[in-house]
Amino acid sequence: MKYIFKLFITSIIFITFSANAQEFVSVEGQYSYGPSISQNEACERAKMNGKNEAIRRVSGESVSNDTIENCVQEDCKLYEKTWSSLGNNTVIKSTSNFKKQIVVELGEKVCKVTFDAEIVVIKESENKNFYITTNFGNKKKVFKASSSKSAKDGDTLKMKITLSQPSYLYVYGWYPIDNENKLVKVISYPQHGEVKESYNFPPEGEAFFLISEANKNNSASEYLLLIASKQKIDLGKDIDFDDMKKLLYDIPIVNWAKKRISYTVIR
Amino acid sequence: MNIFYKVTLFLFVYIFLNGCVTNTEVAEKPIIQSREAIVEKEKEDMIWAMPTWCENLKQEPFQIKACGIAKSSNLQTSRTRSELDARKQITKILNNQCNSSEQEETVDGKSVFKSSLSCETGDVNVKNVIVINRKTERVNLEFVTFTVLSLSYR
Repeated sequence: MKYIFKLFITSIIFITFSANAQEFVSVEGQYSYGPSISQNEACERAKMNGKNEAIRRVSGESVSNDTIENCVQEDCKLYEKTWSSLGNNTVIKSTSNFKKQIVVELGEKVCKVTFDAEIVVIKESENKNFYITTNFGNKKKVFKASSSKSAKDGDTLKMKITLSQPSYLYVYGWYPIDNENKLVKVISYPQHGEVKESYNFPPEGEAFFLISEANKNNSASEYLLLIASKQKIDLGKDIDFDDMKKLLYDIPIVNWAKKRISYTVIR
Repeated sequence: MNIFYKVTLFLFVYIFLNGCVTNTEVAEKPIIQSREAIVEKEKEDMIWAMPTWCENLKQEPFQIKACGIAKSSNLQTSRTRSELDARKQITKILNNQCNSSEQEETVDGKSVFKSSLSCETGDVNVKNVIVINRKTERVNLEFVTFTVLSLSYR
């Protein structure tokens, strides 16, 4: 009986370690600031830069770049867009040995922080048998916004979301121009009855795109975050990115999967 | 005589000092600089500020190096963006697919040459990148940061 118990404990430890890779890194973060923000705020931002650096060192940074150059005779116009994303399957579990100092560089105040970060990388291979696919395609798409909510004169979207097994599905929208830290709940499935293996987004009709009044630009880059879960989870209506990650990473990774649908809306 | 002398002296001093007053009614001749001239001047200032280690990047085996440059009125933004610029260059070295098209049209008897070049890298995971050198300079009223990043792939 004692032997079985030992074997059980060893197995749990082994499973935990094979699912998540843990690493400690010492990093520095800095943020220069003027009179418009407080020292505390600048140091918080310095800490965030340090956290980003820690994630970058352990799991890298995903960068993509698109350029278009159009020339008429010798008159050329270059359009360039670079996307950078951090933290896929990476979580900062804790920080320690935090030190900060304020220095002056080139006449500007700079908050410099150093700390050790404990980072957990969730291995994606452990979750190969639970995934989300869509018919949206891999390329980022551009949609024309409707002139108003009622006009519905812009482009439309209808998408089929397929899960590798019947599950719950939660769709959240990230609209950085309105609020860069929050995810807004768009819809959750099933709307009625049992969990299914595939859902239509939107369930009926087609989805239209809008550009908010607050947006002074002519375009908005956004994404939809799809979260599939074998168990019902309460992620709330609007949720902070950090809170969402904390909630999700408390659930075993074999029980949930996520996918991003990136697109750009133009006026 | 004494009064006449005093009045003359007063008038002389008044006229003399009046000459020192700036004339606000005459508008200064505006200095009009063309957009091209401004860009050219900015470019020149940047080249002067550019350190030699950024200008002549010394490539080494099993390393990809790039020097990112960014200008901003905000010190933090210039530093963050210069790093991103270097990372973007490394991404382009690792994976960049381009398509180009050229065409010649005749408009009012004159031939017009049009060309288009579009490139995309796709999502590239950039890892093991370290900052080798970094320098921020004040150029006019703005900060210009030069950052050399190196990616080791051995």
